[in-house]
Amino acid sequence: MIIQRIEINNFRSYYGHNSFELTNGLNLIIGSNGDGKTTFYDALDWLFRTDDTNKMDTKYISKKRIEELSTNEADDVRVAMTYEHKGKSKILEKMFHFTKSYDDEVNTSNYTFSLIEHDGVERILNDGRDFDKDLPYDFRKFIMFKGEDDLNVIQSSNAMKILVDNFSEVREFDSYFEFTKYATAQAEKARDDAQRLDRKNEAEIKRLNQTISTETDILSDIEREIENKQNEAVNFENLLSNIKQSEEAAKLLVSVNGRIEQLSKRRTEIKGRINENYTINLLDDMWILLGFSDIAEEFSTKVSELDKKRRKLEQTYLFTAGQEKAIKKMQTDFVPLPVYIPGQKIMQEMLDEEVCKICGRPAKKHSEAWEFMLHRLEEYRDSLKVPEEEEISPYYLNNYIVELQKSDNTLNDNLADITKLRHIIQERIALNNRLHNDVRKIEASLETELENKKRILAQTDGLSEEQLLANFDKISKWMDNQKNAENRVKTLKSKQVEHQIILDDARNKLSKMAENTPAAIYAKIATIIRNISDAFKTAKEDNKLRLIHTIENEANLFMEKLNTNDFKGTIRIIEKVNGQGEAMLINNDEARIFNPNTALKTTYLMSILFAIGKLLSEKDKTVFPLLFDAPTSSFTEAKESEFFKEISSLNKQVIIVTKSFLKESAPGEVVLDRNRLNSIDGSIFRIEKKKPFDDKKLGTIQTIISKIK
Amino acid sequence: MTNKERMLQMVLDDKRLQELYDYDKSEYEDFYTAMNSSNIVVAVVARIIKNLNGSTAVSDQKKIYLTIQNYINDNLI
Repeated sequence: MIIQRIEINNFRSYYGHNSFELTNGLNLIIGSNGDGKTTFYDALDWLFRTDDTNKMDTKYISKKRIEELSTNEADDVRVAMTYEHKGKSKILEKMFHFTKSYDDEVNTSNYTFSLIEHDGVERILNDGRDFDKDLPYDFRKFIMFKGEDDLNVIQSSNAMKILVDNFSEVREFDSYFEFTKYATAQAEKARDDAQRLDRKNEAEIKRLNQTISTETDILSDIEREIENKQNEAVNFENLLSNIKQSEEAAKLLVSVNGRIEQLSKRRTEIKGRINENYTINLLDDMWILLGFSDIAEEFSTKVSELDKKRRKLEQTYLFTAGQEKAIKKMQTDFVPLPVYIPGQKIMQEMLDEEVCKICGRPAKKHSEAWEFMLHRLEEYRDSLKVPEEEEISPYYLNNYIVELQKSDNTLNDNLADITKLRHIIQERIALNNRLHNDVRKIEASLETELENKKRILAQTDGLSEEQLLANFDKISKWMDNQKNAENRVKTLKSKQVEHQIILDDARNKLSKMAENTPAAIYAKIATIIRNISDAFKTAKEDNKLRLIHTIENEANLFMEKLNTNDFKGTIRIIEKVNGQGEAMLINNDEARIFNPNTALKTTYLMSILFAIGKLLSEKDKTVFPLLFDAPTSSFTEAKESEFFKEISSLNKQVIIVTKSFLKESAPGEVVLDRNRLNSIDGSIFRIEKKKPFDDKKLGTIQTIISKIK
Repeated sequence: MTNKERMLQMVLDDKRLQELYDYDKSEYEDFYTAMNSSNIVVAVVARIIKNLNGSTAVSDQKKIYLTIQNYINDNLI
């Protein structure tokens, strides 16, 4: 099937008539947000619906066209696809009529869905539902994809069944296998009925039949439990795969949180060791004296200077005083007459009598002569006193400087303590500085860890820290559960083998007992049919595995082409017990890569789709196009160009609606990146909103198409 | 090769069946040869595939069961 043309009339933003002429190769439809990319996809999705759903949904009608219509005026919504299939040209067309009523309501009518076939000049009109013959409904999920999330078709509930039913080497195995089960039951019943006639071995036959019945029941129970446990394991695996992507992030978060906790603890502990109660230390521990040594030194110097000065002054004073004393002594030594001449009694007589008996002249009381005599008497009396050594009075009456010196000595003694104190303080401050330094280092590490935490949380698809940590707990719990279930399956399988041996043995014995009896033939028939049934069962499983391997091999070949110059891994597909498939990427050590980046995941899922497309083509002897809506959103520009280049070389019709190859030329102005487009072979369309438009009014939005190449 | 022929090949490919009933799978690449095989298992497998025709109807199952039962009954030595 090659799609040649797609026409879209009045379908949402595709106002009026619009047409895409497509080629058998890569067709790129490039548009920015809101330009009509998804509408293009939805138009085809609507056209391909053969189940009559959303037949005349008014949401499909172009708002612009509705607003343009006058009352009772009408137009059509129409989507048509011209395609070539197995040598015939066909048009699949779906349309309905819409009329604007007087109250601005829109009424729909005249729905038609037709498949027009041109056979030479003849034009045959068929029901549109006949399109299912050209593109079976089940196949559509393997050719149309909306967004990257839609690519994992394998995991849908019936995908594996559809694949096996349609693409496996041998189809319809199920009905044959069901028949052989039926035939086995019938044959064994016939054998049992015939053996009832054997009275001779009745007891043994009964015992063997009892064994067969018991073992069959046991095996049936085991099989059921295996299925349950396998389902359980699959369920846990599903749960795990859903949160597996966050496992690494959760592990990192737990580790970061651990480090943050440790660092916080250490910070608290170190902060606790920092003792900076300096205000208290100043007075309580006399730290205030730390600055005193300088003062004490200055004081000491000054006291020393003062003392020196004092001593000098004192020395000078004593020297001077000594001199004066010596002079005075000398002066005293030169008195001409002794004081005792005349004697005390005569002196007193002279004074009393008021006459000088030495010169004979009167000396009236209080006269000069009388006063002289009195003075001489006093001098005499003084001279009679015991002479006292005249002491020189001290220069300094107060011992302040000496006191100062004493203080200085005390201070100097105390300075040793202050020096010790200085060491204590220095050590304390150094310790505190070291601790502060440690705290700073811890805080820097903490900041780094908090940044790491932010980064981890920013990359977890919106999962909160609590959810992530809860996932971490769940992961280990679920992994244990999954492992337990798998181990149980192993145990059950080994039990199954043991019971199968007992069952086979009982059956063989029963068959042997039937020998030479009328039941012999029935026993042989039952054995043959059972063995054939087992062979059908094995063939059915092999058939499925072969298909899976074929898809894997083809997908890996496509992966080689699509993911050049990048890590590829190996694509592996498994079938789960519930019938769902699961595509995964395997490392060379056979370990599953649980969290491939989105671009890698998209590429391997697309490789699988190309592989299925190839099978589809081989089966129907025709090729089918692939239609993707924005499949490469997660790709880098370089990867995208390489990817599209490879797709264009696949010789397969691929229609991709994308916003790739657009670049911003000015703020709000988006243009095609023609340089990058030059390397792409295929048809390229640019869809965009017709300008001007009212960004508040949907009725002004119209998609216009330009063919770029 | 038709779907039935591929199915025949795949069932006859069963190692256990080959060992038990001693036949060479490569001798039976078409339905005609398998249907006319002297090996009873090969002939029965061919009959099941040919006659059931993908039906799941119990009446068809009964009919084919009787056919193969009679065939084995008649041809088992």
